[in-house]
This record gives sequence, structure tokens and C-alpha cells, in this order.
Amino acid sequence: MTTEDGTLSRQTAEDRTETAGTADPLLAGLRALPREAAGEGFTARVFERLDRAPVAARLDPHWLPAWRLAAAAALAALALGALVWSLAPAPPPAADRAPAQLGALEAEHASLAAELAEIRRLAEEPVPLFYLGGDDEVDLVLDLGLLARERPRQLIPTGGLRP
Amino acid sequence: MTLPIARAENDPDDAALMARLAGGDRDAFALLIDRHKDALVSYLARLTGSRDRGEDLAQESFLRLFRNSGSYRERGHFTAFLYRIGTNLVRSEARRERRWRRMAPELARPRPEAAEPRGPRRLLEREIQGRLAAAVAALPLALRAPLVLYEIEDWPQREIARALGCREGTVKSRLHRARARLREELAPYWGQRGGSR
Repeated sequence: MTTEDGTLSRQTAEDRTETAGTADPLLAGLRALPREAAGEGFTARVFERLDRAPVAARLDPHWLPAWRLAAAAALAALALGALVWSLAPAPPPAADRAPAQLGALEAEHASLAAELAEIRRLAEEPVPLFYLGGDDEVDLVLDLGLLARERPRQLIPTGGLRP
Repeated sequence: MTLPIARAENDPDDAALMARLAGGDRDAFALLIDRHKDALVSYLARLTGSRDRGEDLAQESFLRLFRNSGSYRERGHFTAFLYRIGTNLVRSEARRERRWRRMAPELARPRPEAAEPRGPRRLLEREIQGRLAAAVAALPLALRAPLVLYEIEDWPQREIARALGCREGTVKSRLHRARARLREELAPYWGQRGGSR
């Protein structure tokens, strides 16, 4: 069990019930085995080893399998990428694409020209305006062209508005 | 009571030391070593059946800890993390030894070296302890590691599972099998006393 300070507590009571009342010579023998301790200068020797082989540490054979695996995975990914690249249909060169692009531009130009001609024709038509009257300040005008362009509105049944 | 070593009131905890170590602080590293070296040497000596080998592997474990301090993520299980490094080293060594034994069976025959009891002890007690230590050292690592941590180092099963990277149920069943094997192995010394747990 880990305590708040990060150290391990001894076995829990629940754990111990399993081995409680140990008249078992095996378990008693195991617990009586002498405990070892680190030798004199242990910490200093760790630092010596650390300083002695900083480069060798990076090439430690125990870690090599992991590096090999990573390298193999990277190579496999590169090979797969190259394969996908080689199988994908190559885009046609620019010279081959030019006629198609020219055709599209010409079609768009024709469409715009037709639209412009239609606008000019409409502009030249007499404006269907009726002067209804007015004074110095206001002119009342009925524009039939404007009415024609308005969408027909839904009629509101007047019966529903009666009090 | 705490494992592995109780620390003074104002000492920084393992998590704080690991954070400093990740920044290359050698003083923090020295403190961590001093705090955990005895317990780790004891565990690895029991695991390898050799005190010298245990000490060597403990040093290597601390070196690995230093090199991998940047990738350590604090979850309050520093001791399990450290012991996992040590256990993996023993596992790698056992694998190499198996390969070597296949190549040169006569040259690389394992010589389990029982830890020498200290102080005056009765001859019979010493003999039994030697046999017991040798029997523990001869167990497969998968059974030996949980047995040593539980029965000798007094760790809770949950923490053992964390250190060995397995489930708590697996720890229980391995403990059961380890004890059964030891009983069988050491039956001539103790007869059939003690029952089977």
C-alpha cells in the first residue's frame, strides 16, 4: 500500500490473515532469512558507473530491441508511404491541362456575355411607370416592373382579423 | 511502519526527488539511492541467489532510473517502478543465462549462492537456511519474485502486482504455487508439518 509520502506500508491486515498464526516452518524460515544490505560505497559506485559510460548508456544493449523496433516501424511507414505515392494516379502535365482550361474559360466568357446582353436589353425597354400624383415634396409613382419582380405574397384571410 | 526506509520529517519525498532528478539533479539521485539501496539489494540478492549479483543489478537499476527519469510519471508508486526495473533486469539476465546454458551446458551450470548468515548461528539452522535460500533461488522467476516480495520483503499483494505488471489474482496464485514447490522441495527437512496454505 502506498502512503501519502510515497513509501510502501507493510502488508495490510487483510493480506496478513493469509499468513497469520504462522506455525508453518516454511514461512517462518522464509522470514528468518537474513536480509542483505548494500555494500560500503554503493552510492559512489553508482555515480562512478554513471560518469564512466555516458555514451555506452545510450547504446545499452538492453534498450536496443526497443530502438530497433522503433527504427523498423519508421522504415515500414516510409516504405508504405512510398508505395502509396507510387500507386496514386499522377496528375497530367500542365501542357495537357491547358486546352481543357481554355475551354472552361471560353464557356464562362460566353455565359457572362449573354448575361450582359440580357441586362442591356432590359435597360433599353421603356420603364412601365405610372405617375399617380403628388406635390412639391412627394411624387407618387407605380412601378409595374418592380411589382412584377416581387414574389406573389400569400393572401391573408381577412375573416380571421375581424374582431 | 513503512518500506523501504523511514525518512526524516523534513526529507523530500520520492516524488519530489524524482522531479528534481528529471532535471539532472545529482543530489536528488544520491538521496534516492541512499533511501532505497538496502531494500533493493536485499530483494535482488534473494532473487538472484547471489549477494554480489544483487548488488550489481541494484546499481544497474539505479542507472536505468537515472536515464529514464524523464519518462517517469508520478502516480505515487515510485518503489514499484524501481523494483520493476530491477525485476526486468533479472528477467533479462535469466534469459541470457538460458541461452548460454543451451550453448555451453557444462560451463554455465547455475551455482546458487546462498546468502551467508551473519553472526553465530547453530549449524543446523545455517544448513536449513542455506537449503531454503537455494530452493528459493531455484524457483522460476515468475514464482520467485512475488514470493520474495511477499514473504521476505513483506510487501502488500497490490503493490507486488504493480511492480511485476500483473493482476493481484495472478500474484495470489503464483504465491500459492511457489509455496507448494518449496514445501515439496524441502519436505525432507520439515516432514509434512505445516500443512498447505
